[in-house]
Amino acid sequence: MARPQEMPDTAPARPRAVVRGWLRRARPWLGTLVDIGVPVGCEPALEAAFEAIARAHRLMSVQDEGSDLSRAHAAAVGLPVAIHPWTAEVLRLSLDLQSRSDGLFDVARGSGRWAVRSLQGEAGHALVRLDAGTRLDLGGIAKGWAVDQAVRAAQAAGAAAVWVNAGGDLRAEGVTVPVRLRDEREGGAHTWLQLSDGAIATSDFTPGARSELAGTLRAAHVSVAAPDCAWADALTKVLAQLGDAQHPLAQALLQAHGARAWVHVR
Amino acid sequence: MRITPLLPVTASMATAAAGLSLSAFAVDYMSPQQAQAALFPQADRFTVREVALDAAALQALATQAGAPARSAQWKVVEASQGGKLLGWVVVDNVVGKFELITYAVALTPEGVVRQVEVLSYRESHGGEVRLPAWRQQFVGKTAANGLRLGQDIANISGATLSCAHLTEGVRRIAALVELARSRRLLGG
Repeated sequence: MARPQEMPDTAPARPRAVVRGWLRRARPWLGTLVDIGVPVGCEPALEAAFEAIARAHRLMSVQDEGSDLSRAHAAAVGLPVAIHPWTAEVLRLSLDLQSRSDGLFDVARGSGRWAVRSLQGEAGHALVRLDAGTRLDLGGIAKGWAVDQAVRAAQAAGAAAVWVNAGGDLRAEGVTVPVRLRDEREGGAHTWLQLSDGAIATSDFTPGARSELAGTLRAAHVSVAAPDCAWADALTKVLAQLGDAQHPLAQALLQAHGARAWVHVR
Repeated sequence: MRITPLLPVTASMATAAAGLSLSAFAVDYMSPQQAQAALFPQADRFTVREVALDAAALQALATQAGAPARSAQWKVVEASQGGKLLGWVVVDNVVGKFELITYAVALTPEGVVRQVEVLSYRESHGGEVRLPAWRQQFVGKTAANGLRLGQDIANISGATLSCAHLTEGVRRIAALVELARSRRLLGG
């Protein structure tokens, strides 16, 4: 078992909101349970956060027939399919990380080429599949990205503090949350750390795990903390293939995103 | 971003490897009564309808839900306002790999699923979640013990929890209400 990375922290904590109690709800979205907490009295913020999650789900889930991805998969090769700005943004981030990770992060999983194009004469984007076999799966980044959107929506609706946990990918703003790490083999959870004003995502690819990774697996159980949950989520997939947070490429990516990594099981 | 270690993970994992216990994890979100009120805020009356399915109905339920019918006895709560039907609420449990989830499904008078709320989430280790005795200890606890929101706001980070069992449960409840409506098992 690998030692966890050292994690000195000198960032000053932002002033905490005074919270007299939490309104906490969990609903099934994104193929998992999404748990959201806001201060008591912030019902509109809670609903705004869940609405952002639901929207991300409808746009990007491959299980949803009407999603942007499903419509693009159903369309002929070379035919641009108009997509929501949210989907376009996640695809843009995915391409960015793909190029900076030497292709280790790949939402097409090697199935074929694709592109996002600006729609001529209109504001908007379209997704084009460039090969017949191209199938996109945003499972490696969209959950984290949806968490970020939910946090923003809650804040915009007046919540001074909020946390959103989408089945293990979580972000907390304006509140310090104790985070436990699930034991993926036996169940139960280990006391781990406290998180505020940032995000943590964990991926498990040990045999029999619920997730699969395209590519060569070098670290089976990894966590990444980053200011944004989308990057925390996506970087776990890169780290799992690099196998070591000290790898130069891992170091460069973690540094670029202000992130930290833990390899729990190789 | 601020991170404060509470315990080195490697140390706690070594503890686990030595056979010492890990902590279980539980969150209560709402009692069934709170869920009813949240799902149908306009309702002035909630009436429990006991639905008993015979063998033929059980078979029909399994076929319609695309999953085992599981139980012949169901409680379907009717929400109404001034005698007008607003919809239905059904509370159910599902067991996953490590977790026991109690949830409530709200349906429209036409039987369309409108919302799903998780009432409680209990995660265990060592397969306890599969033991009836372990599950039984929580029956009725959600409502009776009250909620301690704000006192323990721990979150779990881990591999994405699959919601497949819950999704299947929601499908089963939709099929149940559809069946009960068509066979006039819901009274009223």
